[in-house]
Amino acid sequence: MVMIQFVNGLMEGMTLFLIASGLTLIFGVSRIINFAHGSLYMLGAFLTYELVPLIAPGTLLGFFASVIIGAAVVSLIGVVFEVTALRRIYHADGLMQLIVTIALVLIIRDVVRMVWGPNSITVPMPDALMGAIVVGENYFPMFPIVVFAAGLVIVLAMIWVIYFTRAGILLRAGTDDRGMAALLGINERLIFTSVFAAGAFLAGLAGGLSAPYGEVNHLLDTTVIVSAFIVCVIGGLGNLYGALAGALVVGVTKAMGVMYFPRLSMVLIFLIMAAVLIGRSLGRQGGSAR
Amino acid sequence: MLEVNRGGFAALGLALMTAFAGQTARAEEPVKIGFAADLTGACAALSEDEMNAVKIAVDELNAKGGILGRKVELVVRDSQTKPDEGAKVARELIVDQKVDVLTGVCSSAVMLAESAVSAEFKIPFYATIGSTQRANIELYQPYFWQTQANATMEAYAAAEYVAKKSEWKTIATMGSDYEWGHTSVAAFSERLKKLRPDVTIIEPIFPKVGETAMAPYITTALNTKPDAVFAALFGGSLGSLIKQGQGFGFFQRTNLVTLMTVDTLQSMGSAMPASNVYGIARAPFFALEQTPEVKAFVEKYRAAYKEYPTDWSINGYDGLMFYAAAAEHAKSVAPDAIIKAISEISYDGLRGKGLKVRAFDGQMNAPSYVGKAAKVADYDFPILTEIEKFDGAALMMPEDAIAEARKAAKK
Amino acid sequence: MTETAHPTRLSRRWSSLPGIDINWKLVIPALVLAEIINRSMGTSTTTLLTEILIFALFATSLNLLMSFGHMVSFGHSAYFGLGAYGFTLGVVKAGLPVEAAVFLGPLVAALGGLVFGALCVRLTEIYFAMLTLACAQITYTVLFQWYDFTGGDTGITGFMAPRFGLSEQGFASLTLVVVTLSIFALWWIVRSPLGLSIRAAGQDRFRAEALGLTVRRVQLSAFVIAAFFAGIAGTLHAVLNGAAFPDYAGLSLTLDSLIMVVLGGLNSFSGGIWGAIVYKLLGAFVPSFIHEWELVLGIILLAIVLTMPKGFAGLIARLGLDRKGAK
Repeated sequence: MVMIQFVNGLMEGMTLFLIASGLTLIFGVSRIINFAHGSLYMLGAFLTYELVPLIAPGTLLGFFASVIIGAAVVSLIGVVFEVTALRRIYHADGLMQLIVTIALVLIIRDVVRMVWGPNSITVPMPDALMGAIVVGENYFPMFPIVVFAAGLVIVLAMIWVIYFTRAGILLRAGTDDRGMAALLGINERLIFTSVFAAGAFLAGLAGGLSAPYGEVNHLLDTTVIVSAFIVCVIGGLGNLYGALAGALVVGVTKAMGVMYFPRLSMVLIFLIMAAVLIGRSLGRQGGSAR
Repeated sequence: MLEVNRGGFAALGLALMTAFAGQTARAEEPVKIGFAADLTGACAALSEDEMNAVKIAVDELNAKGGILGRKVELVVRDSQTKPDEGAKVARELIVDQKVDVLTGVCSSAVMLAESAVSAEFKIPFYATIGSTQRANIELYQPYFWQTQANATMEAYAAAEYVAKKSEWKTIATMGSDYEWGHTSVAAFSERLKKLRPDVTIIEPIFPKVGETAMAPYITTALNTKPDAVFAALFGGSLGSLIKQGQGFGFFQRTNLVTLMTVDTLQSMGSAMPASNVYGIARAPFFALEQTPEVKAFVEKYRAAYKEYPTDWSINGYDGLMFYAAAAEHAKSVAPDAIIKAISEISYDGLRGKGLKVRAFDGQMNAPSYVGKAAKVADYDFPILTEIEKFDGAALMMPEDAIAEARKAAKK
Repeated sequence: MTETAHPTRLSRRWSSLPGIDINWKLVIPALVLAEIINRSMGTSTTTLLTEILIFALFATSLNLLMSFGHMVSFGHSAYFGLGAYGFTLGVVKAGLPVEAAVFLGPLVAALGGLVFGALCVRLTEIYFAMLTLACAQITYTVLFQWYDFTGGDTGITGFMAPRFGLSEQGFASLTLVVVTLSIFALWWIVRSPLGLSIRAAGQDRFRAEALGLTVRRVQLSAFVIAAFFAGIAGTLHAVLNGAAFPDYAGLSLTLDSLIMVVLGGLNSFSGGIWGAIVYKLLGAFVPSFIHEWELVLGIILLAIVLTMPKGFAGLIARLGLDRKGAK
């Protein structure tokens, strides 16, 4: 029982990481709190819903192709938003950037409701992922295992991009010292746009991947964004490994909490978040925590 | 003389005209239905179905000449699934729009907020979706009634159904961590214990409202090796439970008894397990007695909205038609006449004959339906089969128990 | 550089900071106009006016933190909610008379502000914002889940006659008085030595510390004050509806208040007031034309942030209606 709950927690943790990774990436580079991250996630889920019946329905390949194409479209939407709105206020007060992303939340929510209506929809699960690995009396469902694996692939891919490619070097340069990077002739705008595109892609990917495992409706955005914030804060905003650790901690805490103090699990998560924040203030002063 | 006569005729004509104009103005003053519904926010989907059906009802009433010969007019406001917004629009509808009756709510919190406004202005208010029995018990006010089974009645119906499954010995319970979840689980357990003392009911678990990561709860519930799990869940949590449960072999290892209205059945679609899901419903169109009225309504609804009516639609339609019947009976839409009439009439609606509202707490003896979810040939979504209809009268809390509860709430 | 370090010139400069002076020629007619509107228009206008007033106070209390303390709170609704519940539970659970409980609401909010604030001011910028969010969500969750004490999700209703049984107009006048006095009190605080310290800490905390201010203590005072006034707004709101719901401490109210401050204009004392007026008027009239009113709001927000980042207060100033514009 404890072990299964632990595994459940890890699985949920990875989903949370997928959600949080894009948010933390964008924050790490551009210092923007993208409140619309949950909305992009939701768009990813709805686009996957549209694509799944078109691309080899029922197959694993068709599902992943749908998710990736959906995420690419979300990424494109993100780029349009970044170029037309966000870019113009990078030098304004951070609050302005936040408000612009809140505006995007409102717009996307209503657009989604106009297009897909207020009812929940179901994204069919690929047949291959319906079952479970059964060990004795214990069931380990396939779907979250595959999502977990996908999450690991994404972590490794991100590490590879950040540490072993030219794009990653530029990105790190931009993060470490914006001014110096600009002086060295690095195109800051391009970096910000690419990072936003990548973040939006991750949000869309997370939305698409999680879609068959729950209900999809126009209210997903707020639920998702709050958990993404929690994870990022626990892990340290802008810190990729932190986000992974934070996501797993949150997932496992929630799953274990169900057994011992179910009604308090949500309060418990916020308490962890508060404790981490306060602990941070006791140690190094908050702010840059990459 | 001639001149005077002319003037006299003119004056007479003018007087006649004004009198006539006044007459028509009064006759044409419509009966205003204030529809303050949660058209955005968490309740949006349910409220929209309800509103769609209410629009049909208004058209039908007007085609027949309206209520008491007066045209029926629907005044719609969005309460955004926010209680204070609900109170605000309710007040606006009553004071500025001068509506004759208030309805539309879905969320329990909004319902109680609007009920308070209705009490303040003494304007009738009825609910057809929101089903908290706090509105019948400690927060009851005389201008309120609800035309659907409240949460307790629904849970009682589930308990009656489960009690008949003699092979089920251990029942696990879970509910969303808010008023409806807690009330439902408590009522279900109470009734089941009474009906089947031999059944073991496991301590309930309460996932937070809107929780979508259900795996830990599924694991906990399955760990007790229950024969069935009663789950007072809704929306996202319910969908997640069903989808995520399949990976745990939930529907091979146990049975699920839960709320399963037409919209849920539709949104689950192909993801619905082949068996072992039992649904409680309020008014599934396929389970209603297929009278000409029901058939006509379903046809009309499908023609207008390209989808089947949901439980919320049926109840919305029945709710307004019940009000119209009460008004015709009272020969007035004056609040006190309406309130007197609602407990005097017996209404035959889409959900069957003999629907009545009890004066003591404003609760209608509305039926509940429990059945087994299955895919059938006629529909492209699963429906409930082997349905049992539970008459509302047998499920309503007795008046003395309510009086007791009211006293207890006052302390 | 050197001139800002000179204390006398510093304070002179601060006292002439934009948007802090009151233009009496604007304020007094506005108050009179509000009362005339209240007395002459229909009830729903009166209710809208009452709401605008309550939210003007709420947004102004948040604005104290944001524009002057440069502390972006993501959880200001917590104190609105604590005010409402402090009052409501004071009546329902403690059996206080309504007239006494109204004083309890703001005090409970201030106490909440003291406890949460003491934790939050240890952090800065985004981490401060996140901790305020966590505190608000904890408050919300407790209000939502502690069924026996707070009534849970269905809140507490029917415990009093809404508006103390006053007429809509009467209560709107009362609200007008309370809100005006509260906003003047906030204005007075901003101008006071404490207000100067809050602004100093907000502009440059290290310099402020070098000048001998205990920045955390100053920020905590600002936090408690803001919480107290948010509590007044919450209490008024609970009286208006004769009800309290967990939503009052929810995330959407926090977002509403942030949007109001930005709409109205950051770095201006009147920003919160203008924001509440514009936001509530939009919310009252747009939905009757278009179902997708959030979409409209989102587009308006985008337009405002991208084209006039000083918000409506900035617009007013540019039109020369403000004293700052006249100067």
